[in-house]
Amino acid sequence: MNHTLMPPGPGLWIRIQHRFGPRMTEWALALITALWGAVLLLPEHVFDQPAWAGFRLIFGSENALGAVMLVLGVSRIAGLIVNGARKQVTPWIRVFSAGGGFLIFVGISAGYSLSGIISTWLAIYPVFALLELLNIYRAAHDAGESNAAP
Amino acid sequence: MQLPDLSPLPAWAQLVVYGTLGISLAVIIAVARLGILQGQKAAPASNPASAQVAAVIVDPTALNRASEAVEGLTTAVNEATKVGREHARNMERMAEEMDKVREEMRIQREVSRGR
Repeated sequence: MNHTLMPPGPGLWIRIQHRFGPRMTEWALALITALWGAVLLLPEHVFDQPAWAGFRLIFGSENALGAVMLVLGVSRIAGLIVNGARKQVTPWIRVFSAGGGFLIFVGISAGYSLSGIISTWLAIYPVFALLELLNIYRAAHDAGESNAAP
Repeated sequence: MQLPDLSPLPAWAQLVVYGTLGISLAVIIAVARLGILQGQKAAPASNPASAQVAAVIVDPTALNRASEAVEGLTTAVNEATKVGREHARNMERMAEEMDKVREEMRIQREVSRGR
């Protein structure tokens, strides 16, 4: 058994709640990633829309992309739960997941931009990417502070 | 899922994708590095003053004890000041009395000379 995990009791839940506030953006962006994938998995043919031309060219199948995004989003949420429950903080999980999140949102922005269609994506996904940069910085800051840095 | 095949894309689009990926990875590494450095600077162990402040926040018992000691010391100093002031007043009174005795003796000497 992993000794860094708290024994069952209220302490575990209190720790998750205590760490939830400062990591709100990470939770939100993980949920957005998972839901983004889930929307692509809906029966509607999203890739047929003109704004998705870039995604269609790069990824081909919207179901495959949707499944990958759903798995990434859920994995990140699982990582945040584990991270929140552990007694010893594990900032590196958060640095890597925020790095992955940054790549995802930059990728989404790039996918839309390849379609050449200006739409509201321009006001949403680049901001998410910036938030991910902030998350990377904060998680790396925690790593440096807790001497977890290599 | 297979890795995306970028060959059907025009050259400029491939350049955009690879360029974006490269720049993004560089930005991630730079931001993470900056975060680690700033975190190490902010670590309590690297700053004795912050470490002391953190220690006091975590356990203020020592600070409370020191406050009580300072309070006791202040009472003692006030008491000592009062005693010192009283002592000075008594000394002044004694000096006045001695002056009176000296004057009395001088008068006595003059009277005995006149006889």
